[in-house]
Order: sequence, then C-alpha cells, then structure tokens
Amino acid sequence: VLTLLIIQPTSLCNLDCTYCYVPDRLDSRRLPLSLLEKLLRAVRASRLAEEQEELRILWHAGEPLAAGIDFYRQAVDVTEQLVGGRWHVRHSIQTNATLINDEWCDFFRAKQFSIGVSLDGPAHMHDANRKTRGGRGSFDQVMRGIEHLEAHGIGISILCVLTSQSIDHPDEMFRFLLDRGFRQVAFNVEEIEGPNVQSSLLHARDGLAGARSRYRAFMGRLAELNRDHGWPLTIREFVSLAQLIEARRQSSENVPLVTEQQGGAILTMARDGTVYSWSPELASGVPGVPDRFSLGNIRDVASVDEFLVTERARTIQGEINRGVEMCRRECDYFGVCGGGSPGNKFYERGTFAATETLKCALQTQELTEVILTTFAGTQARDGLPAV
Amino acid sequence: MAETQIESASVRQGQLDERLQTLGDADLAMIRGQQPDAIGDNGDRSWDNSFNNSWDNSTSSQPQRRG
Repeated sequence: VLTLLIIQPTSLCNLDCTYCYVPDRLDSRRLPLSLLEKLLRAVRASRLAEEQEELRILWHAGEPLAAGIDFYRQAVDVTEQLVGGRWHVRHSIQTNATLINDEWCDFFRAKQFSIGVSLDGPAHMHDANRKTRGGRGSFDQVMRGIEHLEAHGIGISILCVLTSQSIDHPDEMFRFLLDRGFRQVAFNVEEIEGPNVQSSLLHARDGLAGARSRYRAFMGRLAELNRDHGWPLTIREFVSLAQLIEARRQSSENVPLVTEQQGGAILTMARDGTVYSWSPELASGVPGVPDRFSLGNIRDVASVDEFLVTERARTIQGEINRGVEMCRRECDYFGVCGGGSPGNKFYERGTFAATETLKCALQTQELTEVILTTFAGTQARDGLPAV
Repeated sequence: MAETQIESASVRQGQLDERLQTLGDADLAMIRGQQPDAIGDNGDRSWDNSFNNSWDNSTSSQPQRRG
C-alpha cells in the first residue's frame, strides 16, 4: 500500500529555523510540472497502490508555499487529470503559514486541502528557533496567516517542535493552545536529522537522562491538564500511542506495523525528480552526500515499482529489518512500538541496524510511562475488573 | 548469553503487557479521541503517524499491526 506520496516542490524557505533538517533552503528552483506528471504516471503504473481507493499527497519541503499559488493550481489540475479518475486524491500541506493570504485560503478551501501549521507555542518559545532570514522571530507573521485561515473557516492542525526553550513550560503551552482555540496538536521533539546534527534537548543538562525526565514531566502535566479540562486538545502523540496500546491489550501477538519501515509505503520526490522511500527525512541525505538514500530519478522509470528492486533498496530494507529484529530482541517497549523510525536510527547511530533513538526514548518509552502513571489503576474506577 | 538477553527482554515485554491491562478503558478511549459511548468500536478515528514532521488529522485508516 502506498500510504503517503510526499512531494517537495521546492527546498526554498523564507524562514531560517535553527533546527531545520532540510538542505538547500536558499535554492529557489521549483519542481517542473513535467516531473510531477511523470511521477503520477509512474504511480498509476505501479502495483503499490492498485488495491487502495485513496491517494494521499503531502506537499512538504522547505516552505511549500514558496513554490507559488500558480504552481499549485496547475499541479492540482494535473493531479486530477492524471489520477483523479483512479483514486480519491487528498491533498495535505505542511506550512509555516507566513505566506498565507486570502487567495491561498480560497484555493485551499476549493481543493479541500488539509493544513498543518508549524507553530512552536507562544511567541517567546516560537521565536527562539523559528526565525526570519533577518534573524527576527516569525510568530507574528505565522499568527497573521492563521488568522486568514480562521477567517475562511479552515481548520488546522498545529505541529509544535519541543526544544530546550519550551519543554519545561507545559502549563504555559497548554494555556496558549487552549486560549488561542487550537484543538489538534502534535508535539515533535527536536531530532537529529540531516543537517541538524544536534538536539538542544540532548545538549542541555544531564543529556539523555535529563531529556527523558523533562519530556516525561511535560507530557505528564499536559495529560493531566487535558483530562482536568475535559479533553479539549487532541494530541497526536497520546492518540497514536493509545491506539497501539489498545491493540496490544487485545492481544500480545499484536505488534505495530511501522509504515516508515516498509519500502514503498511512503515515497518522497524532491524537486529534481529524485525519489526516496522509508522515513521521509532520508530525502535530506547526509551532510555532503545529499543523495545518500536516493533510489533513482523519476525520469528513468515507467513505474515506481522499479525503485524498490534496486540493489540500494534491497540493502536498505535488509538493514532496516535487522534493526527491527534487534528492537524485538532487546527493547521492553517493542509491543507498543514495532521497531522505531529508520531515519532516526541512521541519523543518530549511523546505521539502520540499530535500536534506541532519542525519539524512542521520549515518544515511545517515556510517553508509555506517562500514560501508565497518569491513568493506571483507573480500570477499577471504570467498574471493570482489574486484570 | 544472547539467549538469556532475548529471554529477559521477552519477560520484560510481558510485564509491560500486564501493566497496560491496568489502564482504564474509558480513559484510553478519551486519549484516543473517542467519546465514551464509542468505546468498543475499535477506533473509527485513528491516526497516521507515518510522517512525524507533518500532521494530517483526518486520516481514517485502522491502526496497522503485525501479528
């Protein structure tokens, strides 16, 4: 199954966030529509998506809106012409929101785009890392973009990166999100990926142990606040993990199937037609070797299936599988994880055949403990027999 | 030595499974974004966590798992 088709129309970004993992953010070249057409034909010719009814396309980069609205008008038309009769196509975009105006809003509404906005919390938290090219904070510009979206009745999801500047302030974060009317929120941790070779969370006091305790305190307090206020926020990390826990409670044979570990389940195409799979962050390559994980160029294939039978694809998949088996053998949390993110493993450990990463430690292990600590023992309160 | 390590990880995974059973169904459902009367429908609203650096909340696929 092709779960997600990610298209990077440009690596250009008008912001200069300190933790960004995308290289070439001053390169204004844009994806030619001819390559988009080639991609869509190659997906249509593939066996990957033949059983599914829906095709999800995520526009990502860089700042994807920097490609301009005319590009998207044409790109969406091309998509509808080439694959609209085959799949129900759902478009999503992850944006910093600074370029959004009424014209964009009309377009998003007309084409039913799902919008994710990158916002790191109240101004002082956001502006600490999400800066303009001139070095100023971008909070006010982001909020103006969000106000445009709200004025057009367009709902958004907030994607918030937790850094050393924000992780100790759960009450302030919760209050900001609540007061501002945001309801769908995801919290990433600042990760080591691509050109971002360090995380402020690991370089703060006590290294990984400190990051663990700070993350646990942040998410634990957030869970308490959300529960005590009647669950106003839908927080991706809790929802995801609770679903996996629920499956695991039904049967200890259930282990999460992690999309990022399956070759072809996610395909990412860069603006020059280079195609990648597995963790989308792998499209950033490694410093000095941007095409380290390239599976080839869309110009050279008739079907995206051809990317998955290359020697490189087999090598990567084999190494990823070894890493998953290591997790199965070694990690207490394998039953609610499934073996982690290959991209995080490579960027932190230099190989896919590895186990624990920062993301594992925080977003799986500590978050499981948060859920257990905050909610364990409530079985009896529900009137159900304790097991 | 390696077998001992595998065995102990397996034991610890089993212990985690036991701890997971102490969670309340109603709270878990609320965490999953469901109303209490929807408990038991196995998750109409599930999440696609396939790309951590984006978030689209409207995904409706079931949680994937390997048995």
